[in-house]
Parts: sequence; structure tokens; C-alpha cells
Amino acid sequence: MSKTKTSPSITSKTSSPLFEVKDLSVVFDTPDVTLEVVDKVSLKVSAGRTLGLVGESGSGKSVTCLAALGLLAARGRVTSGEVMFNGKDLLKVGEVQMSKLRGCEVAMIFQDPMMSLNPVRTIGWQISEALLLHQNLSRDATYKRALELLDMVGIPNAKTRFGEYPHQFSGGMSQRAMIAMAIACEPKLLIADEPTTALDVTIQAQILELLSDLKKELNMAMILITHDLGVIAEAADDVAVMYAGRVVEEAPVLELFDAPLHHYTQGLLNSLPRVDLKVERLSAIEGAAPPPQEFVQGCRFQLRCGYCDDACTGARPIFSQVSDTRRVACQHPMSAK
Amino acid sequence: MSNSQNSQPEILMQPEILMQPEILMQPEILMQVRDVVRHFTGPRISFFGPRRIAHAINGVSFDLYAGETLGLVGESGCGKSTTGQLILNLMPPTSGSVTFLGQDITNIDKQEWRRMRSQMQLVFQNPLGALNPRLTIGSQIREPLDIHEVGDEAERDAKVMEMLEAVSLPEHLLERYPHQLSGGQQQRVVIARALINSPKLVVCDESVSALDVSVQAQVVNLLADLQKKLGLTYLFITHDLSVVRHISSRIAVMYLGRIVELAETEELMNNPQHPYTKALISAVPVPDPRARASRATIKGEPPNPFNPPSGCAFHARCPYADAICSSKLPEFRETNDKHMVACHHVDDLTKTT
Repeated sequence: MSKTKTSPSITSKTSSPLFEVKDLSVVFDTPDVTLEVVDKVSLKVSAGRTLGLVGESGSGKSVTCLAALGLLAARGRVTSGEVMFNGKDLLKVGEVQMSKLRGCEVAMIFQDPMMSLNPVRTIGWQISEALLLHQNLSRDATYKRALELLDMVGIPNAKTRFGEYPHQFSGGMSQRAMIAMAIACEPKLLIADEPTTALDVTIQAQILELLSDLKKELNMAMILITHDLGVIAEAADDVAVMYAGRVVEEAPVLELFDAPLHHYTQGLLNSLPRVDLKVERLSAIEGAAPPPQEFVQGCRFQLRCGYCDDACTGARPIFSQVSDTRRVACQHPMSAK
Repeated sequence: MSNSQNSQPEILMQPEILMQPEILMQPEILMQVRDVVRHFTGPRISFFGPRRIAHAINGVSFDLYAGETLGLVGESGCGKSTTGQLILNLMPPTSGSVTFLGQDITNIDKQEWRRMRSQMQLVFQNPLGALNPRLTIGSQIREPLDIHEVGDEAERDAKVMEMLEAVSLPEHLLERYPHQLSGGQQQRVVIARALINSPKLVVCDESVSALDVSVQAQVVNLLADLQKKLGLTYLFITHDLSVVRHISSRIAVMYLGRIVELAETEELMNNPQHPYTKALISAVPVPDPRARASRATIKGEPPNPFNPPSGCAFHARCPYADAICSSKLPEFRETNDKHMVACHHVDDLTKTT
């Protein structure tokens, strides 16, 4: 289809971010211990830009976003930090305000569309629900708008599809329906949590293109959570790399891929098999990412890092500004090219 | 990996193979799959109506050479896992034959099969699902030896330790249970268990897909090392073209129950000839933000196997399709040296590109 993809913009907007997470910490209470799964995470994203949040499973990327929207499971608790959205601290606005915001100004889509859709309601009903809840529309207007949305996300035969149930939709079509629901009220911020992980590559390419088109059309800010650096390279403007509950590196996408500063980012890039290159042997990072009960003092990557010394085992590395656009939390960052 | 194929002179010297000049160039054929078809019956359309038939596999043929890794790629529902199960005789084909070292395994005597099946193993995607939660790691790795009554107690213990070292797992894990291990360690246990009876063929069905990239790289390297060391043959089933490019010596691309393209890895990746293969390769996100503009996406979704399209299954999504594509099934033929493609327009397409 379209080959006119814009290359990632290098200049980040100087305007104040629409959504900013500052030093957010989240703990989970278990019967035995309290696990700190998100440790002073800071993120920001401005309107019209996509922040890619990348990390391995258990690195806290989803929990950060769920906590920011007040969607944590019962055992999870935010212990510190603030979540600024449009000048308001979302952690302080209260549940009533939050319900008005969620699905309206802030929307979220999840990995498995089949799990997120209600199997006993029609697709049309589920899309209309968001509209009826948040916007004062008549039934006719709602129906028209829902058809328009189905059309917008590329679902053909919107009128027939409106009355169908989720089991009649394929994986890709369900994800399109989820996106239609999320953008129903034209949110200012869209959080997409692994939106293409469950989909085939050809469908993934379509969905990523759709998300990027919609972002431009509605001038949304978008947070794209993924474990796939390929998806990041494809769709993100800025990237935050998470490891073991912390953001270890933040950079515009081109700079991150050209010259990663954190050894973990470098290791991740090296361990990727490439579809476009022949690599003789993958250089894997030794060991595995630690679960929260095995987090160590100091830098949490120290056990897998080849550059680790005494400085790394002591204090937590400061997430410091390296240039205007880049931050890294490492005692011995790789030199920028 | 092509080196390991060539390093089997003793097989080439077998007289019956020498008599067939076209096979002379090839290493030993471990498994031969010929015109395998598998249908699944769905529910009835109405109370007295006929059952619907899903055409999962519509005539798949390929050879597996000893010591090679054949990558089998395709989107979900294309029949790649079913193919894997069929060649391990985990389900009978509707028609067609599968031979392992010259012996047809599709209707083999049960006793015979029991002896033979230790030479073929399967490694699944989800290691936690493949391991018994109530048995220790040690006893699970040892179990195949007990079942096939290999050696005495001491020999079995020694074999377990040897296998544990081969997959780089520390000894103290032997007494642990699967849930106490990380995902990468669990997959290593599954691999150790699969390899302990020295199989010839290992079918890896999305074996590394559930792992995080850093751990995935470790397991991919491990599989490559074990192959070199033990002379294994892999059928590597995955949806991930990057992994398959890395590990395979040849790649077969499947679409709706048929192989549409089969060639050596570098030839296929650098010179894909079927429009579907081209689309598939270009759809994989490349970890390079500068490569964004060069992507071409294809429209639509894979067809329903209950209602397969006429002619070439890809014609509805293919930018080059014309009348012949929707009416006639393209022949799976060799276009140039060792490159097989099933497409009506492959000659025109290769000319233009």
C-alpha cells in the first residue's frame, strides 16, 4: 500500500510534554515480601509523538502504564511519584475523575484483542458504548459515528461488521476494532501495550501503519509498549529502554540505534537476529533478566554487564542527562559516536 | 551449516546412492515427505448437512537432508505446525507418505514405531507447558532413558549429567521443579530431555518464540552448537523470519497448506521469487529506523482453510494476480538451481526485478 512513510523526526518538540511520569514507583504486596517492580521511572511524551517503551518481560513497562492510569491490580500500589497529564496529576484526581478520563482523553489497547473484547456483545455495541458513556450523542449519531470509526480503522463492510460478534472477527480485524474503540472519543493520549505481538507480520505491518496514520490525523501522543526493537525502529520517535523496573536509557530513535549508550541496549541490539543481514553467530547477553525478588544493590544490570566494577555495585546509577535529548543510567556509558 | 552437510563422506560412498547421479551431490535424505494432505472436519453446517472440511495441508512435499536445518515459515494457520506433527506421526495424514530413512512411518507397526520414535523429538514453544510441574528437572531429563531402558542406573545418571552440561545448566538445578526456573532454563531442560536419547531429527515448533531476545539468542546459539556437536537435523518451524534466516540452511515458505517457495537460505532471503515471500520478508520490522521508508505492506488477511480460494491461494492478496491465478493452481517447480517456486508469473517477475 503506501510506501510514503515519513522518516523519524529528529527534533523533539520543545513544547511541554502532554503526559509526564515523574519518579513513579510501584510495589506489589505479596504475603511474604513487598516487591518494588517499578523504581522511580520517568517518562514523557508530547502531542503528535510516539514514545516507544521497550524492555524484556518483567521489566515493568506495562505496570508503569497501568499504574499511571490507575488500573493496577489489587495488590499493586503506587508509593511515590506523579503522573502529569494536561497539567493534572492523575494520581490525585480520584477515581470518579479518572473514569471520565479513561476511554475519553486517555485510551489504552492491549496485546490480545480477543481477550479484551466482550464475546457476548456485538462489535458495534462495544464501540458505541465508549461513545455513549463519554459523549452526549443521540442513538442515530452514535451509530453513524461508530460506522465512521469502523471505516477509519480499515474494517470493510462496516454496516455488516457492526452487528457481528468478536468470534466472527480475525485477530487483525479484532485489533482494528479495539483501535476503533480506543480512538472513539479522539483521545489525546493512546497507550498501546504490545498491540501487534499476537499478530502475524503482514498484519502487524498493517496495524503499525494504521496507528501511525491515526496518530497524525488526530495529533495524539502515543506510548507504544513492546519487546520488539524492530517495532520500535518502525514506529517510535523517542525510545525509553527499561530493565528490571528502571528506565536505563532514553533517546530519540535514530540516536538510540546509531549509538546506544547503555550496555544493556547495546547487548539487546547485538542479540537480535536480523532479517536483512546475515549474522554468523548471535552475541547473546549472558544470564537472564532478574525477577523482582532478586534485584541487587546499585545497577541492576551489573551481573550481566562486561563493564561492571565497584562503582556499579554501590549506589544506584543516576539517570543523567548526556545531551539535550538523551539520558542514560550507567556509571560507564558507551561513548557516543 | 553447509559445512556439516558436506562433511559426511561415508554416506556418499554408499553404492546404491552412487548409482543415482542426481543424488550424488546431496547428503543423505533423512526424511522424505510426499504429497501429504491433511483435512480436519469441522462442525456440520446444518443438522442434516455435511461437515465442513478444513484443508489444513494440501499436498506438501519436501526432503530433509541429514545434518541440515530446514526452516518452515508462514503465518498462523498456514499449516506449519500440522506439518511438523504429521512428519512425527503424531497424527495420520489424509493421504500421502512420510518416510524416515527409507521406511514409511504413516502406517507402521506399533512395536516398530515405538523403537523408532526415540530418533525423532519435538520441542514446543511453551516450555512450562511441556514440563511436568510435579517432577524434578533431573527425573524429567532422565525419563526417556528409563522408558527406552537405556543402560543401567549409573549409565543413565552419567548421561543426564553429560546432557546437563551440554545445555549449560548448573548441576544444582537437578533437584528443582520447573516453576523455579527461568523461561530460558526451562527451554534448556526441554532441549536436554529431547536430546538425551540421541535422536536424529528434532522438530522445533516455535521453540524460541516465547523467549525474550537476550535469552532467545542464547537458546538459538545453543541449538546451533548442539547440531554441530551431535549431527542433528532440525525442522525449525517458526513465524519469525529473522530467527529462521539465522538458523536455517534451507527455508520453505508455506501459505494455506502448501509450500510456495523453497530454497537455500541466502538465495531465498536475497532473491525471493514468490510475491508472498517478498511481502513476508518486507513486512518484518527491521531494527534500523533508517530502513522505514522501504517497506511495502500487503492488503488483506490469510484465507480461511474451510473455504480455500480457487487457483493460487494467494491471488486475492497478490498485486500481480490475473485471470489464470484465480482459476489454475500453479505448479511447484524449479526456477533455477535448487530454487522451487509455485507461481504462474514467476518468470515475468524475476525479469522485471
